Formats: sequence, structure tokens, C-alpha cells
Amino acid sequence: MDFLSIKFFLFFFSSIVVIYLSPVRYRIRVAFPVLNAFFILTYINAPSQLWPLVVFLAAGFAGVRLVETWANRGIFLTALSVILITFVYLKKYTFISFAHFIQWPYLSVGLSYILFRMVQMLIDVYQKSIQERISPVSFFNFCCNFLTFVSGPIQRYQDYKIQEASLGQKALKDTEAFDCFVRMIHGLFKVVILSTMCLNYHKYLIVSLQGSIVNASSLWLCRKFILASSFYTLYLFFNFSGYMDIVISFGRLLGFQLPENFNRPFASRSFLELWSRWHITLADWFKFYVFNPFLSLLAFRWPNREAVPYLGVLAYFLTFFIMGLWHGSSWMFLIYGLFLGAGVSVNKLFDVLMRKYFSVSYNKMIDHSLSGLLGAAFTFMYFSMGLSCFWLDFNGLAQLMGKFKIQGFLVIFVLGGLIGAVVMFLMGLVRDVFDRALVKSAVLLGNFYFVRAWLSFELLMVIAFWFYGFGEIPDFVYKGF
Amino acid sequence: MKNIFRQAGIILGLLGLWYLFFLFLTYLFYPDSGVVDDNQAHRGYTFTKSIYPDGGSSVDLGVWLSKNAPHRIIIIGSSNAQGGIRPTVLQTLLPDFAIYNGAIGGSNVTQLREILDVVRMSSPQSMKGTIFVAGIFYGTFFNDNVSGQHVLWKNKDLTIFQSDGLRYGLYKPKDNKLELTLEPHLMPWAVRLLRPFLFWHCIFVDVRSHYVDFWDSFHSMTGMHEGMQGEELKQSVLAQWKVSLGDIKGFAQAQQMNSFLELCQEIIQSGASLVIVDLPVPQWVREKSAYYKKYILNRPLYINGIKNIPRVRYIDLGTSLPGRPDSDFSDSVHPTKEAAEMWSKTIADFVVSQRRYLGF
Amino acid sequence: MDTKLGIKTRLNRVFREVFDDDSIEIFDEMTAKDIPEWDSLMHIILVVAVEKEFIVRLNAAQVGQLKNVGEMLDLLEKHNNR
Repeated sequence: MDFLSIKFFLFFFSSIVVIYLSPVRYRIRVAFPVLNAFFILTYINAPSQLWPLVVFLAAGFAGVRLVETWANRGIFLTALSVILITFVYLKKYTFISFAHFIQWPYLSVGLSYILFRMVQMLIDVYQKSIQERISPVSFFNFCCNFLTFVSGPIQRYQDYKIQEASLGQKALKDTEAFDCFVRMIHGLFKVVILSTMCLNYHKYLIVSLQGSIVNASSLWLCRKFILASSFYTLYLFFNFSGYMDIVISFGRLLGFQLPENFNRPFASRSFLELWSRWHITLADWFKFYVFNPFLSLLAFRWPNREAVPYLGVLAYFLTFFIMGLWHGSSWMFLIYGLFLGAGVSVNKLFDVLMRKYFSVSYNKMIDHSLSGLLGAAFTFMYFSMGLSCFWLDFNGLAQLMGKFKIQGFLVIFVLGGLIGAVVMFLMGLVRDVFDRALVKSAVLLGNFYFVRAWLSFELLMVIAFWFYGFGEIPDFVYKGF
Repeated sequence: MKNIFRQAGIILGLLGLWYLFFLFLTYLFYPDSGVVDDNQAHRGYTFTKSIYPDGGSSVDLGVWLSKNAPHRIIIIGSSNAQGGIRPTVLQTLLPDFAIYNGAIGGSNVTQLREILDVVRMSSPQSMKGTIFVAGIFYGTFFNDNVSGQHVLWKNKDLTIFQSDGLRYGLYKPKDNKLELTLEPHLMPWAVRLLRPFLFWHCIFVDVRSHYVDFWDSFHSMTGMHEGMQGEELKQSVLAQWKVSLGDIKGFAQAQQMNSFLELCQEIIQSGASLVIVDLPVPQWVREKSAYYKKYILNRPLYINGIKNIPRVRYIDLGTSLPGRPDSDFSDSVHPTKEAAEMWSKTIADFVVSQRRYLGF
Repeated sequence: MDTKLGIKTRLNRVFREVFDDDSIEIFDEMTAKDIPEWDSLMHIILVVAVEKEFIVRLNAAQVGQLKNVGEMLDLLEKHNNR
């Protein structure tokens, strides 16, 4: 079911009625799983399309149950392997292209996020962080919660259980309900209007790039590539964060306090900092369940204090490489993984060397307005260059590599970063003016009717633009991951 | 739960008030009067300003068709027909005709057929009094599955025309064609109810074209719009055409020519008449474009075919206006305003001279 | 079995060794913000050192979710009392 359809909004308001009106004892055990199942069924045209998901969930639940019963290393590793192999097979990863894949169309939306949930459950059950016996209904509700089914945010089972208990229980105040609608409509504005505009301009630029790549000068192509990649990043941000706004506000209306996935990511002054602000729950999951264990293993193996920072660099590289791979099954995502891994590990290595030879950390260095601005601009540029793996295919990348060579990409990085710094500086000035205007308008902004009239006008714009952009409004990007 | 629905109710109620406000506003400033479609002012029947600078409004066409007119001229083709064949110029020489420019940027033969299908479905009885003026050129004869075009005008496997028809729910898809969801006489009423959204639609189109103009100026200023000059620019333009038209092997083949011939026959069989206008292109394109040369080579396939079809007339505008300079064109295919006036006058003169053969 | 004070003393020593700073004095509300070098990397190094000192094995959830030194002390006390 498309989040931008009338069907979804009708479904959602119906689910509010169902949840709040259903008796408490049936709410979590009957009403919620029925809603979750119904949501999944809207994605399929035939029952056969559901089998792979059912098998995947069954494998996960069986693994969790086995580990609950016999918490030994062998069973845990076997269960984990089965889940991972099933996932890789269902996602049809390129590096197992020799395998006999399922030929009929099947539902693969949400599999990546279900993987995170199942692996987290398995690890925490094995390590006894989850003491309770997980029922099939709880397992299904957690893995297939319709709010987070498509693309998160990624929650831990323990956090989910705390909130599940408050499903439909919390009596929302008028102001709280209104705040949810404010966020929802802002989210719609981002997805329908802002992300569409950014994507359209990005598409216009890549057509221009495609047609000119043979004859145009390298500098001209560099500038086009900088713009194309920057607008793709903006499109991705508005699209993803807009959907998160919609999902999180819906969750709040139902009583769920879903975690945030974005925190002003373009204010990040380093590539490492970016991952504490962009797709936060994904980065946290990888920190908990990949980076931390891997680094612990390395630190145990090589307890030499001098080696520790370099072990950290290695751990960062591996963690982000795997994160990049998770995004897709083609070779381009292998390149994306390498790009992410290189970015964080070089960032960390730079920090390590700065501390060692100059006794100043990277964070200290970028703690000034100018260096911070440059840090943010170059972080944005590097991230945008990496994201070109999402919109370029292998041939396109090869063509650009042939044209630019390594030095061309360095020019793109430097030029893009400098241009980005100027743009961010100007935007900062605009934001200051806007903030001052907001302060002066405090009385108006506090007026009950004005605020609601403005919000409904915003909603009208969203609906009008939805009609205007029919066929062009992008789907939720992360649904494809 | 009560608070949730109360807040939702307040917001939706205020939304309703905004809707009524804009509905009132559109009637205040844009009374419901039909205006002749003219590319200059780009006026359409759904509103006083056309929604689409590239043409392609099935809604607009649907409303225009719902109005009675004994004789009609419907212009079909690509953006060079949209900009180059001016209804107001035709109107002065053909005052007894209602004229509509339904050309859509980036059209191929399939797109031309889309317009015919909607006209046939919406007002079959008026086909006998209709002349289709098809403004074609070499760029009309590309395959439906060309990926370069896919980026430009196909979104989610829909053409611009289809998107527009489905956009407001006034049409529904049936067998890869558009079918009205309402009775034709209800179209104007449906459009009246949609006025607030059409109003904003026009504003978004204007903003978009100013936005595009701004970026074009920005690119020009910063030297990004044309990284090359002269011969280099021409080669780059030809390369872009290659992306738009696809592999030359599959271009302007007998298949596309026959498809166009079938379209001509369908138009005639439906009761209408047809004027085919072969629109000119710059001299340098004629000399350098392999696609143009292939089209010229295979063009006799349909020209010979139409000789046997009644009520079809053909004019090669390039031959009718010999020796015109390349400055008649603002780029590799689109005419300047002055050239468009000249083209339109020539076409209008031709239609007047051929009225007898066209059944008028 | 070690007392809470004993655990705190040993933990303080671990902090000083890991961060190479003899002036560190831990307190319950202490977080990563109080020591500039305490980032994700050093957090794991600290945890490994704590595990070695107290002969415990902390699981992924415990490692990731410790909010302050006070919680770490509580966890160590719990393990100590087993």
C-alpha cells in the first residue's frame, strides 16, 4: 500500500479506531496482528507472492526458539547462518548469481528490515538480554509492525515491547495530537513537493550528462556531476525523512514512540558524525551488533595499546563496508560499501594521526565556524559522490571514470566542497533572517486559528502538487532496500 | 482517540474552507469562458492559461471536445508542432473552424494515436467535421521503448497524455487507452469542481518554467549551459538526439512508417480528414544528422501510401518555404516566434486551398 | 566479593589506564561528554578493559546501552553478586 494514497490514510484512521476501541486483552494479540497482516496483504496480488516472506519469518522464529531452548554457540551460529543465507538468497545478491533463484514474483519489501529485527532478537536471546519467551504473535508484531514494515525506523525488541504495552492506551492531549498532524503534514510536504522537485532536477541533469559525456569538457561535466549528485542527496533526504515524519507521527497517534532517524544530517562536520545524524537507527544497529563485537574481538586478540586506534580504523571500515553492501544486491553497492568504509576509516585515521602527532583531535579542529563549515560542506560532497552508486549503473560509472580519472573525482570533491561551503554560508544567513522573523511573529504563530489555517493551506498545497506531479511523485526510496 | 479525530476534523474543515476560497477566487479572476488555444498566451479550455507548456492535456482536450462546434481543426505532433503551428494564425484564415493545438512535446506515432483515440471516444459524432493537422518531422519516428525518451516523457510507464488523463480521475485506463470515467457532458462540471487544483496547477507550471529559466540563465552565466561552441555544440546536440531517438537501426524503419500510415487510415475511417505537414529542420541538421537522412530515405514508404487515401493532403513545409535560414530556429528543431507565424500562415493557406479535397 | 566502593576504585583505575590520565575521578553521572577522548572506539576499549579487570563478559545490549558510569557500576555489582 502506497503511503501517499487515500487508501493508506483510510487504513490508518481505521486502525486508530480499531486499536482504541478494541478491548485491551485483544488489542495486542488480535487487533494489531490483524492490522499488520492486512497491511502486508495489500502488497500482493496472489498468495504465492507471500511464501518467501512466510518462510523467512518461520526460519527466524524457529531460530529464536531453538536458541531460547538450547543457548549454545553452535545452535546460535547455525540459526544466524540460516537467516543470513535465506536473506541473501531472497534478495538475489549478484555474487550468488549462480544460484537457482525463485522465478515467480514475490514480496521482498521489508525483508532487509526484518533481517535486522530477527538478528537482533537472536543475538539478544543468546546473550540473555531478552529473558522472556517470545511468543509467535509478539514475534510477528515486532517483525511486521505495519508502521515500520517498509523501512524502519529500526527498533530493538526490548524497546518495542515497552511501547507495545502502551498501544492505544495513552490518552493523547489535543496539543499532542495536533503536533502529530503538524509533523505528518510537514512530512507530506517534504515527500510530495520537495523530493519531487529535487528528483526532477536531478533527472534533467543526468540526461544532460548522458548526452554530453563524449563531447563536453571535463570541467563542464564536473560541474554537472556536482549538481546532479547534490540534488540526488537532497531528494533522498526529503524523501526518506519525510516518510519518517509521516510514520513517526502516525506511531505517536497510536501510542508508539518510534526512534528518530534524522537529526539535521547536513550539519555534520565529519563523515563519522554524519552517521550519528543520518539513518540513525541503522547506524546504531550496526554499531551495536557489528562494530562493537568486532572491535571487542580485535582488542582482545591484540591488546597492545598502540594498535588500538588502528584496530578501530579497521573495524570502522568493515562495519561500513557491510552497511554499504546491505543497501543493494548489485556490484554498485559493493562499490558503495567500499566508499563508505573508506570515508569513515580515513576520517578516523586522520583523527588518530592528528592526535598522535599534533595532540589535537579532529573534533577540536572542526570546532570553529570556518573549519566546521568546510567540514560540513566536504562531508556533504563526499556523501553525495558515494550516493551516485544509487543512480549510476556500472556502465555509467565506467564512462565517468574513463572521462574524469581519479584526478577528476578529486576536483569534483574539492570544487563541490568549496561551492557547498559558500552555499551553506549563504543558507545560514537566510536561516538567521528567518529565525528573527519567527521570533517577531511569535504572537501570530501562537494563535490557534492561524496555525491551523496555515497547516491546512500546506495540506492543500500538498494535494494540489500531488495532482500536478502525478506520475512523477517518487515512491519511497528506501522501500527498495 | 476523540482528540485525534477532533484535530483531524479541524484541519480538514479548514482545508474545505481553503478549497471554497480558491474556487471563488478562480471564478472572480477567471470566469468560465472558452478561449481559442493560442500558443502565445497558451490558453486552454480548462482555464485561461494552459496547464502544460509542452501540451498534452487530456483534460483540456476533453473539455474542449464537450463544446459543440460544427467544424474543428485539431493539431497533433511534437513540440515543434506545438510551438510552430499557431491556432490564432489559422483562425484568421479559417474563421468557421474551432481550432485546438493538442501537440505534445516528444511525441511519436503512438502519442499521435492517443489524441485520436480520445477524440473518437469523446465525440464520435463530430469526427466528420474534423480536420487533423499532423505536424511531423524526422523525430516523430522513434520506437516506443527508447530509453532516452523514457526519462523525458514516460513516468511509471505512462505518457504525458495518459498521466494527465488519469491525474484527476476523469479518465481511466482501458486496453492501454484512456476511457472517460464520466459522460462527456459532465466533463465541464467535473472540471469546475477541480478549479482550485487546476489554479494551483497553473501556478506550479509557471513557477517551474521560471525556475527552469532561472537555472538556464544560471548555467549560461556560469558557462555550464554550453560547454562547447559551434561545431562542438552541434555534435553534442546530435549526441543528445541519439539518446532521445534510440539506436538508429530501429529508427524510422518500415515498421514506424507503416504505423503512421495505419494512423492516417484510422483517421480517415473515423470520418475525419487529415493534413500532414512535414515540418522543416535547420540546414545543419539536414546535412549532419544520420537520423534525418534515414527518415528522408524511408519517407516514401508513407508518402506513396497516402496517395491512395481520400481526404489526406500532404505538404513539405521545407520545400514550400525554400531558402529559409537556420536563424528561423531557436535550436535544432523549434521555430522562433516569427518563423512560427510564417509556418502557420503557409499551413493555413494550404488548408484553405485544399478544402475541397478535405471534404469542406 | 567486592564492595561497591572496591568496585568503584578498581573501575577508576581502569579509566585512568585506558585514557592515560591519572587525574580522572569517576562519578555516577559521568558520561562520554566528560572525557574528550571517550568516543565509540574508546568506549569499546574501555569495555574490553573492564571485562578483563572484572572477569565478566558484557553482551551487545549491555555494551551499547550503558548511559553513564553509574549504570556500569550497577552492572558490575550485579555480576559481582552472582
